[in-house]
Amino acid sequence: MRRAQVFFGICLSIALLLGIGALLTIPDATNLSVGASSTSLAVDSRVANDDSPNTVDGFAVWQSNACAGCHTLLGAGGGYASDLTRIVARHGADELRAVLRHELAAPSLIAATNARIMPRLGLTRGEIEALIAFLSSVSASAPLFPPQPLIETAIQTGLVAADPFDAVSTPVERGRRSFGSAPANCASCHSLEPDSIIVGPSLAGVAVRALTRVPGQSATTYLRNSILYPSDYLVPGYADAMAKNLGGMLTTDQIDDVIAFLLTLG
Amino acid sequence: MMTTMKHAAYSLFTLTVAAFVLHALMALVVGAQFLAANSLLASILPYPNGAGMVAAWWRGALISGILGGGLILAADAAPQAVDSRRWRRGFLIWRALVVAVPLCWLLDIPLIAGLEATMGGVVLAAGAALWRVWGAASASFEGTLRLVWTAGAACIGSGLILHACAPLLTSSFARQTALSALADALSGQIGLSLTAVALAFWQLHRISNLTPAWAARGAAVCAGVLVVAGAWLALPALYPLGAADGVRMLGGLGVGIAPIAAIMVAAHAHRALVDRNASATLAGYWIALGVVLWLLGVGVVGAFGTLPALAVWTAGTPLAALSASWSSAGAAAIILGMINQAMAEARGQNRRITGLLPFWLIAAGWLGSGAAMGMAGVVQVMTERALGVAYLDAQRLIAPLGCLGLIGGLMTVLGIGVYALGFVVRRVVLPNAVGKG
Repeated sequence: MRRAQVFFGICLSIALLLGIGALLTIPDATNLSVGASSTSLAVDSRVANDDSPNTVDGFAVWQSNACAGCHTLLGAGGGYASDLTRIVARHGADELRAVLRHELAAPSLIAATNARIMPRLGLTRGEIEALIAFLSSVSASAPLFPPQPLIETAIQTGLVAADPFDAVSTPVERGRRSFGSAPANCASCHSLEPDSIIVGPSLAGVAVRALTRVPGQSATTYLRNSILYPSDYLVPGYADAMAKNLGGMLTTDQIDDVIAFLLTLG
Repeated sequence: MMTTMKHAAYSLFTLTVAAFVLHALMALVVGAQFLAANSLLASILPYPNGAGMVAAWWRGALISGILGGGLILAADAAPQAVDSRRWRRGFLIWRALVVAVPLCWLLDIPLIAGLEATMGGVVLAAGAALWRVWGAASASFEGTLRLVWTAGAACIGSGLILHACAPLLTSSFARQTALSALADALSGQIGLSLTAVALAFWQLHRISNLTPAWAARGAAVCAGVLVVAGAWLALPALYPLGAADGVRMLGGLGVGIAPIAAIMVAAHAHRALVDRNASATLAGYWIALGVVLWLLGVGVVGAFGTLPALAVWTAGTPLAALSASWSSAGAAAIILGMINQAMAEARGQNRRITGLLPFWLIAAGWLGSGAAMGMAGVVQVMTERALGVAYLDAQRLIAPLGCLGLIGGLMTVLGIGVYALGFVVRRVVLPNAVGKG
């Protein structure tokens, strides 16, 4: 019986040593944020360099605003809104900044059929920058989360043909298809020929015009805002006739594809 | 004979049953999020707060049961030990905490971390007090149970304190997340399993013809392998945080270690359950349920979850949480069995205290809602992770499985309700009993 007790003691010691040892191997996210742009994670270099606000402050902003009550990081959190582990890498700091400043609705909110509303947090400029720096560091500290979707890997390695069902492969091609077909049917109102007006303005050359339409807004942000909130900026001389529910009709990916296509119309 | 230590244990068991009922009801309310995204419920009770309350009541119920069980073990092993009304008064703090922590979650009062650290402190103090009462360490049946139970209580207390203090120890997100994950494993997968093993072997000894020496060896060996398996099951939480390759390779060994631990516990329980004595209560049923849940949670889901190649896909999904969920449900089943056994002995009537109906309802509820959770995890992995569907779109696809889980939740509510009814109807009449010990 005494030997069994000794065995138990040894097992307990092994377990505790294993836990402590494993913990010590975890890198510090604060340090990871510095130079994160040099990794292959596509982290925005403007927010993850030596001049960026301290990620610790961003973590404090994250905690004090109870972001994890709705969002998740590494899949842990409320689960009522998008996982933000790779948000900066996927959407870029500009778009995230615009959402946090309430200049742009979060695309995932619009795309979701259930209208969960992001509260107005009223963050200061410094807090927003700190939060973006923190999210960049999270992205850098979890290089394997989430893994690249199998289908993308298979397409990249040539194991399967890109989108074998309708031979649509790149975002631009998918966007061109969405532009001309249901549910968006953009082509029924917008021509792609210069000066050819159907209902709305022609979109020929829209990639160039989008850069300068609204000061301070990138072409991507302007186009996304025009799709999701068409009444926010009306081209002079045109009525406010565009459908207001495109955000509910199209998925986030479809909107991204349409924007990718429009950006080719230089 | 009802000593005051057993009286205190009875009070804790009452708290355990009440907390289980509240947990089951609240889990059903929170689970209703899948029925309608814009329900009135969502505006009345913010779901994140509700989920916090559910977890707090579950933790409160489990630890109350563990503490009550520890008191029964101590009173049984050392009837001549200090036996005063201080036990009853001592756990007043605990009862206040079990009420206060869920309320803080509901009202969004930022005292939760402090209160949960206090909970950990109370568990540690209880473990130390029972260690003293229990007497000197010995190579006896009681001595082995004492060793396993107090080690488990120490792990639960330390884990709770560590989790609450993680933000004070590091400002790094990755380290804080890793520390919290390991603290959760220390209190849940390790501490809870250890204390539950001690309670399970005490019950197995009571309901079977096994010798104390065999039961003591079994308790120590099962506790040892379960604690090692628990440590291995904690490692997958560190994989996405950039854990070293060595840790990932070592973690993969869990696919062999965890099933061995679960099978060893099952084999010991089987040996006792096939050799029941004439005065066996329904505790054997609850232990069997606990063992099945451990086999599934630790031996199957947990084991596969330790494989780095698999864990990278399941991280952050309900599938990754299922192992801890089923293994804590296994501990809960053993606690419900302990209440059954201890109350039957306290009444002096070796009869069914809570009946078989709640057993089958709760078993179906826990296994059913766990299966729905597992399927939801598989769907999330297949859609979001494999096909690249957006997170919220994947959540919408999971919603019907959440509704399926609600049926399991409803069965659990009914089961625990009937259990509580049996517990109240066949209660020990305390006014006559207190003071006679």
